[in-house]
Amino acid sequence: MTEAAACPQKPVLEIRDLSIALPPGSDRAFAVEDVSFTIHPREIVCVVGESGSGKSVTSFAIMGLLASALKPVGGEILFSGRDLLKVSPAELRELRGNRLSMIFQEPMTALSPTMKVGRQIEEVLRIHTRMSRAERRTRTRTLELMRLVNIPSPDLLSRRYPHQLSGGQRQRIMIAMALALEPALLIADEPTTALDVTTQAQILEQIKQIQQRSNTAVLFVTHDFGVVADIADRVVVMQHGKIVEQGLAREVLQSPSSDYTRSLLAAIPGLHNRQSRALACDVPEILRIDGLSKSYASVGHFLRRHAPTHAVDNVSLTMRRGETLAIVGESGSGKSTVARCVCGLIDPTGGMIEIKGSNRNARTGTLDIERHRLVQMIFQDPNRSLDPRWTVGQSMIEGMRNLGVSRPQAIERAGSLMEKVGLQKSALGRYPHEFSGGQRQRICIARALSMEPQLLIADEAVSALDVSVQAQVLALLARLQHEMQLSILFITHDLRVAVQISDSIAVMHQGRVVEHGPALEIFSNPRHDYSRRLFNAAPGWNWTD
Amino acid sequence: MITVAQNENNAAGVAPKAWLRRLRNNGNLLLGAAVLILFLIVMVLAHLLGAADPQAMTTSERLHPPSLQHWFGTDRLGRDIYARVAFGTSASLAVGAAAAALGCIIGTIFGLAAGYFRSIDMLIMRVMDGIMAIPGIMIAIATISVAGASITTVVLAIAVHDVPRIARLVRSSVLSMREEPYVEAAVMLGSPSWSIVLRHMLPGILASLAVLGTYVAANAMLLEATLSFLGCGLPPDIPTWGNIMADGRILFRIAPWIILFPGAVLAFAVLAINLLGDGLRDQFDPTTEKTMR
Repeated sequence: MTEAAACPQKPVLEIRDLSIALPPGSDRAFAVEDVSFTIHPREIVCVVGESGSGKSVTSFAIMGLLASALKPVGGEILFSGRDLLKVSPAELRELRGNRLSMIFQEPMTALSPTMKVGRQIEEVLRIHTRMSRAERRTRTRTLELMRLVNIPSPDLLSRRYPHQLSGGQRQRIMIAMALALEPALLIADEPTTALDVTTQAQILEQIKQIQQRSNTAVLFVTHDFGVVADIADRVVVMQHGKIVEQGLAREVLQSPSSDYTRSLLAAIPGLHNRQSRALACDVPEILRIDGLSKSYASVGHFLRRHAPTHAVDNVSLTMRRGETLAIVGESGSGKSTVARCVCGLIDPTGGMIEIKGSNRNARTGTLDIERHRLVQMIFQDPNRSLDPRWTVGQSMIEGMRNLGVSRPQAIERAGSLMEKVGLQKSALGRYPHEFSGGQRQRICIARALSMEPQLLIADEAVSALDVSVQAQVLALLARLQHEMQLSILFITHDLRVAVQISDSIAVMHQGRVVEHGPALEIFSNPRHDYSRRLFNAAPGWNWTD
Repeated sequence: MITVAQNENNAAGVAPKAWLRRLRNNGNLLLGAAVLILFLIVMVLAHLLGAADPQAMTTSERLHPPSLQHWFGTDRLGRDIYARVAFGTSASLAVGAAAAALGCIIGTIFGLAAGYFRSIDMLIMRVMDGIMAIPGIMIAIATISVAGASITTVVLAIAVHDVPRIARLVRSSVLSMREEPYVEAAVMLGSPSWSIVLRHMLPGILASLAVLGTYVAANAMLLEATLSFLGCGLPPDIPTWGNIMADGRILFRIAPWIILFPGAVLAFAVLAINLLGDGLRDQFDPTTEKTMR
């Protein structure tokens, strides 16, 4: 970390009492209210907050990219002496790209899909600088920029379209475009949220290096305190559109002065395992996966068949009753495919899945009602896992009705399940959109429990939730597990969550399980090379709270 | 159709207030609906609105141009064109609505089946492609010449033409809905296929079906008029807009009003239905409206 915060230089950006009004009829009057902070040259300032805190609105206001419904009603945004809220659109256009630039969360949608990436970088240069014909032909500057952001063989990759690059490479291209004109201020809005941890670690490192080399100031918007711990010089914590705390990163993280920051930090799963319950060896197995494989035939045509893609390759795992097994891995590692095979949502191409003794050859099996009694699943996106046109009550009794429970009985049980997951009985008469994400996830858990399953599969079940909500849902799952003797198969990319809740852990990489064992052992002493790399890449891994 | 769609969207999570505000600003929808309601009033109350007997021939008043007595003039048999157009409204609208409804129902069944049961998808969709490859008017003429001209056969002939388009829309919606977690959750809860298709998927399609349905109805009315004009639609004794125009075809240079008035009324009706369709689309999906302006 640089000591830039202490230096008396003039700030690059100074926001004074910025207030932005929300359209009438919204849940609050201002998207951001009386926000003031400064960014100095060579400084990385992180704006942290949960969803709806106004952190993105702030960054969009600086770039002049506010949606038309949002109106700045007070304050000023001073960028090298000029108020960005008052400059003409033409001046703003000139500043954007030249002095100010921005990186977005999803590089696939921020890049033009029909243009080669090299051309897209060139376009930025061509619009804003005078380039000689020779320069344009040799593309020196473009290739130089691509080398700067560590893109391997830039000459080759510059001739590719965005969809032909990986997510990390696309984000690097975005960074190269943002840095092309050596801006004074770089705004990064959750630039690594859509990326895998190992890629995220590389990109963060990249931003840090470039920023130090070129004197750029960085405004980094994120929801992840791990990321803050890794890169921030100073932190601004926002809640409900207001700043609750700001200061040097180290101080805020170690001794937060506001209750909100303290509660946020407390909600982050720490990197220490809950007392791993020693499971007695005589506890019977609930799940045995043996040599599970799933491959997909690639799209080709009849003259040229491509080799099939192996999503899951010879995976064997066992789980005891009452155990929590976390499967961790990056996107594309096959962890979700394993979960879906166990549920029976997809049929494996080979291997056996045995659930609680009911032997079922995975190759030929179909979904039967007995299996639904044994296994239930909680999905990632709580906004989409309840039918929007059904009341919560209708969704809740669907499964019980299929099991032959009478309607009044099913409704009564649904009511008591709602109370069990911390909601009121009256929720049954309402529609899913009337609930928050965390509440919806509780409803999904209650719905899964209505089938009285032995094994609960949670496929990234808390990834879409804010940290404080995430902590509540995890606590709920732990309590239910204790009360109902549930076994939980937890699929996650978030190592912090995995450490906190699991008894044992399986690390997956490219369709294979590379390491499987008790959670404590694997975290304290990962033996496989990939596990070690994965753990080291986790944001804030070395930061202890 | 409007009311069904409205309930549907309310349930899908739009606050009723915002829905009403959008409705008030939705000129297309309001204008289209108003004109259609006007047509319905004329259809029901034709005899009260000064229309004489559409079949009454007054030989002394043949080929009279529009006048106060005969608003739209008279035809070669001395029949009052206004009366014929007014009474023809019911046949034209009914055929259009019935054909669209029938096409929507059959198309939806095929689309749901093709989208959900992948094994029969290939078979159904290739048949649909086959039907789409034949011009609608030819299918209709062929059907009518085989089965004879009556309201039922005309409706059936027009509906066949619309089935593939509906089926394709429904199939593609089902294909994307299959991936929705709430559908997978229903599978996990042990719900049988029929229940998933009818109770989870069908309600999600109704909105887009209502929009496409209006276009199909407008198209069906045009097709009916074309068939009647060509003399292979409804029997000539039933007044429809197409029949009246067919009647006036050879006299166009002497008595252009015979074709002009029913033609204008047909154009208005089709325009109104299309406006209604546009309005419905904007109402269900406010984002398209924004990008259009």
